[in-house]
Amino acid sequence: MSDSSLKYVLRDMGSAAREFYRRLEEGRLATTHCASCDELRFPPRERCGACGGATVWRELSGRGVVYAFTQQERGLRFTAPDVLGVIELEEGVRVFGLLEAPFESLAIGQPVELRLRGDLDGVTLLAFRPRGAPNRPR
Amino acid sequence: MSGPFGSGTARPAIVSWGSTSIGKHPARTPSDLGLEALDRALARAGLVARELEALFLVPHGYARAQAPIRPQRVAEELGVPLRALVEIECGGASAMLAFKAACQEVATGHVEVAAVVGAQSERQLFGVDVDEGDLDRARLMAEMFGPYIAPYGVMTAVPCYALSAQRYMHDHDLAPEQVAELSVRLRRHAALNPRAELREPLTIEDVLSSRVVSPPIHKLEAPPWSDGAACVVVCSEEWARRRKLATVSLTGWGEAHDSSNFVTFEAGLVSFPWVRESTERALAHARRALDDLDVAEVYGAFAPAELITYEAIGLFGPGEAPAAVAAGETALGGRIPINTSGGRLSLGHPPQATPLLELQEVCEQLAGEAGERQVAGAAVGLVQAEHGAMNGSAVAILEV
Repeated sequence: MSDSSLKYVLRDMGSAAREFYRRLEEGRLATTHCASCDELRFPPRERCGACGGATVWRELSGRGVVYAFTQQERGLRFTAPDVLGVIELEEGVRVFGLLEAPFESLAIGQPVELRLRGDLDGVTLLAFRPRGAPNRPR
Repeated sequence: MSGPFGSGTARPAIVSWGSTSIGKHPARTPSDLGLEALDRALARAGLVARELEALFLVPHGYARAQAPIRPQRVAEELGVPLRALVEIECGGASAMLAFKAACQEVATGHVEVAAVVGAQSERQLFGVDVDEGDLDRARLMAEMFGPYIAPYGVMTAVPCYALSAQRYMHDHDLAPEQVAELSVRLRRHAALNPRAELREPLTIEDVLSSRVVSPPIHKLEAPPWSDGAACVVVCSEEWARRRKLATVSLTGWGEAHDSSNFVTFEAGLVSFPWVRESTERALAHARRALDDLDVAEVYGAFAPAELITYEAIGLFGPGEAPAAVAAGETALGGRIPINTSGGRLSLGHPPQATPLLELQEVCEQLAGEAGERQVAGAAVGLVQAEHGAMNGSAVAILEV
């Protein structure tokens, strides 16, 4: 994440977000859990908003279903026909990521699984593909 | 005694309002536009600038880098000494929250009369003639979307609203025509509003054949990215009495914010309960019910979001807004006319001025100055504004 546009995007990122991306780089999707409230939340927070207690990191399966998806015309770091989506994970939290399938082939409720994507700036991003789909060369 | 901010708080009043035309003003600075809106607001009530005791400002655009202490440069341009001077920022709700701050300043008695000014004029953010400065602004726009969305290339709110729109249409089995209907209806209101940017009649076919900006949102279900400015002058009821000026009273204020940035991960994308909370608080402070409303102006940055807002406010059940719109319930002459200005889609949408344009529309309706689009006998109005992609909501109840 050194000399790239992403450093501007993420320069004010908080410590929980930095830890989130550090774990992703190691191939682990995780968010935080509050033991006393028994609440798993995304995005991750160092402290529980409800009780103020310290949270612990919990790894997530990366399996879930498509909650909603769209595309956009242009963006500094976005290339059509990429698809953006919100994924509802098995653990009950929703996350944001890319969907690696043609827009027309996707449907709300479709099962997907995580396939981490190395970004051109060296940042690991969330990408999902329909569950059971064959590996596509990139 | 009830009050707009809770028991025992004084009622501030809106004594005047004004705006520029809404559209493209590439040759004019936000500062020029803001001062024109202020001049118009002062002139409408026969006020002069030196009577102002306070200025409440908002940043002068989303994609314009801004040097610190702009309020003091505006004060210098205006040439008036002040007792309160502040700039307030919270995205699309900025001007609404600046209005609140001005009302609170008046309610505490610190000042008697204050102007709230919001202005926006943008250079083409994604134009072909991008220079280093523009790139900085583009980066600022991207940073706004935070660590969990920005890295995916989201740098406008459009895809966030599109995700919500898709899920809303899916959950309630709505056809594209049912959403497009709202754009057509708003354009009919705009045709009666000389201030509106887009006034040509529109058909459902026009809307659905316009380009898809972020599926399922079509260009004509999105607002034009407009330039423009608006001003509202707030005063104490006593000051207005001394000056023998008619006013519109702020009788209720409510506000609620989700703990999210653009994508409302936890609440889902179709219900926005904080819109209801802010509405209920405002109505409770005003001792009013939804049935008391004669007219409403809501933020509604995109057609699907506007329909959801009607439902989130509580005017219609989940998924029922499209049918109500098609039945004319929200049109002039309907049960509760909404966005008689033409709304963001047709009035035009300079975000940093938009909440003041909404207040202006409802004030004109309550003052009986809305011309061809007058809601007969309107006495109680609601104004709703939001920030992010409906991540928080503020509601004002206005009465005469």
